[in-house]
Amino acid sequence: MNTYFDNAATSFPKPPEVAQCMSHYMNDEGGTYGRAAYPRVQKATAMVEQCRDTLAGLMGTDKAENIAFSSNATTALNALLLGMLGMKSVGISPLEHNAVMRPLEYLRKRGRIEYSELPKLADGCVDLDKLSKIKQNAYNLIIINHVSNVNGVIQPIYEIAGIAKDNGWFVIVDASQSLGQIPIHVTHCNIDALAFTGHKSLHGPTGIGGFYQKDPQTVHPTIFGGTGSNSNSYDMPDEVPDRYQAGTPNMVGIAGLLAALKHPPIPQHSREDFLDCMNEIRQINGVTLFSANDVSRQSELFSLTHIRYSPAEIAQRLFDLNGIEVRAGLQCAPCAHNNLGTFPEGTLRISPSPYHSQDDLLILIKSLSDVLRK
Amino acid sequence: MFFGNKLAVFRNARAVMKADVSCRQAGLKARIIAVPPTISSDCGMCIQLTESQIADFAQLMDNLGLETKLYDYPNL
Repeated sequence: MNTYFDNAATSFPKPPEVAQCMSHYMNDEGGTYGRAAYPRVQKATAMVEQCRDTLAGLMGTDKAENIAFSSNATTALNALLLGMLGMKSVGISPLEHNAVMRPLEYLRKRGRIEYSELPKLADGCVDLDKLSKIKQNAYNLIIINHVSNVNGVIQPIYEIAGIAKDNGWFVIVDASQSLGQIPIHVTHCNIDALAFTGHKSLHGPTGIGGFYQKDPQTVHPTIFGGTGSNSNSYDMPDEVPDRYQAGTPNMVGIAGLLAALKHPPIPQHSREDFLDCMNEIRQINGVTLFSANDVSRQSELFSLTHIRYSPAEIAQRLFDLNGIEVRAGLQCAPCAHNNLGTFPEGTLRISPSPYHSQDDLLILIKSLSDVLRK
Repeated sequence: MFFGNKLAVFRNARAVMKADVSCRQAGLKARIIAVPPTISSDCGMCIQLTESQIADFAQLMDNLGLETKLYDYPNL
């Protein structure tokens, strides 16, 4: 049985090719990125560029060079938010993670920005009707958490970006939980920047992520150093991706991410299986479920609280009973919990992966019923 | 051994990789070598070509939208 239900934290297991390709790079290939011309470096550099090109295809851009690698979505969002100039009024979606909130708060305390929440529905979904009535000069920038890591709400990103375009607002999307799972097309959608991580919905290794930036001139680099290009200057190159990629990239991480992109898992359960599981859990006595009001806006993760037991108690009981691993608490998203009314205790989050079978989901339901009945 | 007398220099490693893939797909026999210090202090790569390949190469780069500078190799 697959007892790991904390895939929103980091996905596990990974496609077997991920570890194989990382090991192959470490043991047999090696080589750095773009710093020399011998074949080992050529091969390593080509691998990095193949990964970048594959990501570009996934995001829907023909400008792969506008994708820069970083350690994860948090460093990517920091690079975007701290490097962005002239964005004084910021609107945030109601289910933001601290990867966005902490850089914003850092900037707010230094008088560089002000931020406020976009209008919302009860489940934290952005209220499109109210958003469309907001004055054009209310924001320069809006930030949207595409899929909430708390209740799994999928924000209506196309509609939001459409309203933003009409108003001239810059749009940043945090696709940490969505890239590879929920289709997103940055060109059709008119998204200005998108941050991603390799180790969640993409099923790659930890330590590799990045961001796409439509117009690189709007974001200044925040990391400075060697790029293997324009080396006679102390200034960072203007060209992308070099502009944002000082230092040797995480080559082994990129090898793993490329393998993950080439070998996405084949789902072992259906959409109906997942929705049945969620609804069965919703029926358990004393449970309050936190999910999308509109089932078409529900990704494969959700949260719950119980009338008697705290999230931490339930998590411990699930582990003790059947070794089931879930996340309890605030999930680094106090903003989301404030909006869902679950702050400060938080929730118990259940986040399956495509590798869970229908039987795994049934065991989860039974285990939860058992621990909450006691 | 390949002895081209022209060098195509690019802005970064990604551009070199893109150009190299495109050359191979088009059957244009070129090779990646280190950028000579006389051209640039960069530690990166460039593409070595023969005179006769220049026209096809230029067309390929144009199609890709890649900016490149050509240098005579023997005169360096």
